[in-house]
Amino acid sequence: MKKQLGFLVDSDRCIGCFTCAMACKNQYHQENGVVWREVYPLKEEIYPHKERAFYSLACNHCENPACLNVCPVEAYFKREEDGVVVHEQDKCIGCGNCIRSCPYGAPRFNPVLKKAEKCSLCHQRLDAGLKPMCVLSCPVEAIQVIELSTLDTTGLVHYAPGFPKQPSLNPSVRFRLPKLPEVVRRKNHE
Amino acid sequence: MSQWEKTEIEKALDCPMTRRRFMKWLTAAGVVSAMPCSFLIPRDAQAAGIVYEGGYKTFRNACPRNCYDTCSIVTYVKDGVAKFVEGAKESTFTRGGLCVKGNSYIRRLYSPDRIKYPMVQQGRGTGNWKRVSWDDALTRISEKFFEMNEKDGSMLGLAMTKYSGNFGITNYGVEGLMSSLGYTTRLVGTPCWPAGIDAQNYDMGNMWCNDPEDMVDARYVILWGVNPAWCSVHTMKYIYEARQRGAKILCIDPVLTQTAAKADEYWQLNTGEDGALALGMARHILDKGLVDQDWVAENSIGFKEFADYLKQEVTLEWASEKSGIPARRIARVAEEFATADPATIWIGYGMQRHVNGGASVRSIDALVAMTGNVGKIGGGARYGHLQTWGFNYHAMIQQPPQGAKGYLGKAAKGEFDFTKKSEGPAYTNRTLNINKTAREILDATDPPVRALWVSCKNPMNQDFDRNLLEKAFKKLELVVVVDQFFNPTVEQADIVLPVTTLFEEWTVNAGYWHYWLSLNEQAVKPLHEAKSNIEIAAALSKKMNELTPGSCTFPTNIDTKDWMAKEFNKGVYDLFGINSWKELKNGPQKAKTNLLAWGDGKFGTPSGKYEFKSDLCAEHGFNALPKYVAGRKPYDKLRLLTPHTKFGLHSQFINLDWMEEFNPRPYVYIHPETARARNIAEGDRVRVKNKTGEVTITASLTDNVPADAILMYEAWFKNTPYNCQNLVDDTSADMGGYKAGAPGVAIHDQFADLVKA
Amino acid sequence: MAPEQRKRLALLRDFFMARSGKDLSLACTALADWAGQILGETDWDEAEFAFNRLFVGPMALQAPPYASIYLSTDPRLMDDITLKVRRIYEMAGLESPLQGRLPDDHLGVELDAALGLSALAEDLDAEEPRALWDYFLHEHLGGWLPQFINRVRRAEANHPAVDLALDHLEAWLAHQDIH
Repeated sequence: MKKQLGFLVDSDRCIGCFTCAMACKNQYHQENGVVWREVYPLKEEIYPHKERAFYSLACNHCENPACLNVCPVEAYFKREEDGVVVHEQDKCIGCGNCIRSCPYGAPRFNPVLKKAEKCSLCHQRLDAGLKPMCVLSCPVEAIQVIELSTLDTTGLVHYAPGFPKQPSLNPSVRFRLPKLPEVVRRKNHE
Repeated sequence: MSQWEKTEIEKALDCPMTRRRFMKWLTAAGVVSAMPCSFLIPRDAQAAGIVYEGGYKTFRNACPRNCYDTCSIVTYVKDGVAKFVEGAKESTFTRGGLCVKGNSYIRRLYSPDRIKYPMVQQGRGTGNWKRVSWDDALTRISEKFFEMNEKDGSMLGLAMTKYSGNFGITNYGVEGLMSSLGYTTRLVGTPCWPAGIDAQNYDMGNMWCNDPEDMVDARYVILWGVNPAWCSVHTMKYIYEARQRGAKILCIDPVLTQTAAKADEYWQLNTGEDGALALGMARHILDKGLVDQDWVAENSIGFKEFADYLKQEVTLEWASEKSGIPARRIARVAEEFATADPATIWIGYGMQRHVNGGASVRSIDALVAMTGNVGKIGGGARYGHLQTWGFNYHAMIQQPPQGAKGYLGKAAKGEFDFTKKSEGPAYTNRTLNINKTAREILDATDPPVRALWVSCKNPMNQDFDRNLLEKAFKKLELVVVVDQFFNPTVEQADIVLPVTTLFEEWTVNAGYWHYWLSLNEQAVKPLHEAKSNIEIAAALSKKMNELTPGSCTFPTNIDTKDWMAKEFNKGVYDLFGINSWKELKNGPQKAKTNLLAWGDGKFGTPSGKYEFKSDLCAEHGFNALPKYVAGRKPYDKLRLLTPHTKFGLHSQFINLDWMEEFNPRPYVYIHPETARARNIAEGDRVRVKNKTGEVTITASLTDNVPADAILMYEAWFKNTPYNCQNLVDDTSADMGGYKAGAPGVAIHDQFADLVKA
Repeated sequence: MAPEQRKRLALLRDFFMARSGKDLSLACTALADWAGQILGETDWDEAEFAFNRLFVGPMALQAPPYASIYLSTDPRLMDDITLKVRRIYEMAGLESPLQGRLPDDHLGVELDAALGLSALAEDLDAEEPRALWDYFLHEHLGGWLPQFINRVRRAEANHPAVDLALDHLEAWLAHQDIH
């Protein structure tokens, strides 16, 4: 299997602190309203305690990316060496195809430039031997860069509950699911 | 313009080499006579020399907020502009990353909404502001101070309210400024942690916790009324590691917090019954013969009396009834805790914000002590420490002007006041309880409080009994606020002075939880006309002495880098194993000793031992033993909890638009049953009311909160008048007067009801 | 640029660099004078309060007078736009004495720069200053001033004195063929 980088979303370690989301803004200064990494609270059907478990998601650098496939001007390319999907904003004409096609909502519309943009796995940092900003900043190592061809997948799932299953795109992301504590409620509250 | 020309210009803008070639015309053209610019000046051609391109300059900074984690920061600067921040990798505690708040700092530094210039409001609260020069602002302030001194024969009419907005050590220059003006009024005490501080002082002779990084060695961790998943994110990795090595993590909290969701077991006890629960566990440990008799015999006094009390007045059933936790659970955990080696309890500040807070902390301390866990690596009753704060306080220590008159009474000291009482005049400052600011300002006479100096604090947003505080402000003749953003306190100011952020000043930072020391370099020039607190003090002193020589002793010619260096002494160097503060440019340093609290068994109590029975505590009006003290009786239908949110630190950060992306509005969290009984649905607007005031807010339904309580996070949102302090009265916690200047506040002993709006 | 447009530009610079009601009154009176008009009765305190609400503070600005707010993908101060403007000044042999403290792309500074750059373009016999002035005027000022003017016009705190300055700014831009 070719080298493919992606993200490990460890929802067991994740404390939903939003450090990763803000680390990305700190590095790239996106326009207000444009967020590349979101921290989604799990619905209560999936995790019963409201806003107590999260999936931190950005771009999944799919094996067969929808964005790349629908781009009319080849503004996307997938790096040979590591599978990172890069958007070249200079070429972008702001048609919105990618934004409409990605089931994960990774590409966002920049209303000032009138172009799309998304997480690029901080490939410039990677090339300089540095960790992506979100990964560096996470206080509990709940976001990590993984290499799928050599990954030990024990205890990990590909499609966590609530995460859209898209085998034809094959998102390069793996999850560790959150655990539940043993809850002892006070007696007089039945 | 032709496309060719546009491209040429843009190439020159992007590339310094191309730019230099482009600029050859300047030298060829010679000097242009009479340039019409009145502001821009000719650029020194030499300065165009070598342009540093491609790399960043990095600077050391430290987050000076009131937070366990006090992160060491690395700031990346290009062309004199800070571009982004990272956590310092050299600190094993910070470990390369900050938090959601730290990562928004660039937005804060360069926010267009920052207060830029000294400004004067024509009529408090009108929003009609005039810009003035620093000279003008300081003249107005000086003249008011002279007037007050004339009228009262002292500077006691000037009050300072300051707390934890900025813990950079040189910011104690604000206190220094006050001292240099004479004897003034100080709002003293802390709304935060005083009850627990006193409790730990009665039990052990100091508030002193182990290095939190040793928690990895704990075999049992109780997180009691603390929410590190939100309030100390960097400690979570040690808790996780402890669990990986086999520790059990138990979380006790009235609310199912984020930390509770990460624990192995979570107890949702009845709020304020922490003391009963701890005593119940203690009784069971005693019954089961699991007391560490050797440790108790060697290191403590009063255990026999404590054991007698437990036998006579505490049972598992009683503890279960009070706390709501099943007796068999209490028994099992007590046994687990007593047999784990080592076991530790992290006592949170929220836990002691009750009328019985100090008493509860003493009970929990006793639990840790009787099982022999005090003085062990990985063990301990963890609360906080001030071991790494042995600076000179050079900025703080200033002398009053010649002939200054003051107060002839007893002055209280705050917990961060490390100055020693010197021999000298009987005059002191007048001290008022910061936790009853409104009441104290209204009641103060002889002289009344005429002027208020506010720095590192946002009283209009944070102080209790907001409505009463508004009345108190009406009494003030002059309100000077030093701040960065237009918050509710600035709204009520007469004069606002723009202050620097951490990136724009030299200072040094320590923490009250971990043991790291960080240098804070000036990474960029102060923006607009901002000055740091000591620069403001120096400038005011200069103006005052211009007008009336000798009226202020604060040095007028200061070098802020120099003043940072002046805070260091041999004690600090020895503790951190460095020879000079300059070594901190290479990264933060960790203390080499003092990391194990009470490891040598030499307690700071009168007996030198751990005091289950503290005569001093009894002298101060409490129980000598850690006996049960009942909580505050409810005065309304539902308990109101107002803890801390992950998105802000008190009233900082939440106003930034970057933060609004993730946290756009405040909510009141209501149990679904409680909501249903009041016909309230998810997302409804509700009015929360009690005897102190009211708040209108959006409802969010969740059983994370118990059915008998509602919860709102303390915060300042830029675009809403939301303030939970409208509902919080200034009832005191039990302890705090001994070591922290004044008793704390029973912040979580508030009650209210709500209706659909 | 015609000499009287230069004069107008200088007065607009003075207006946006105003630090007090007095500065505002001097600039506005001079602008009215320039147009051969007489200013009506004006409460200069009210004008100052409005000016501060729009452009200065201490509260959040209703119409921040910095190019970076309107031209960047992220509205903050001292960003890439600011540094680009700083380089434009550099290429004209100019710099701000408050570099690092007052953003180089503050409107008052830019209007001062416009005076300088246009003078260089017109008084010297070289292509570069002409191209530079052209770029600054059309690509930069023309890029953000119309948005800025719009924002001020729609702002809550607007005041006749400010409107007067805006009218002149719009008219001056129109003279440079920017609408």
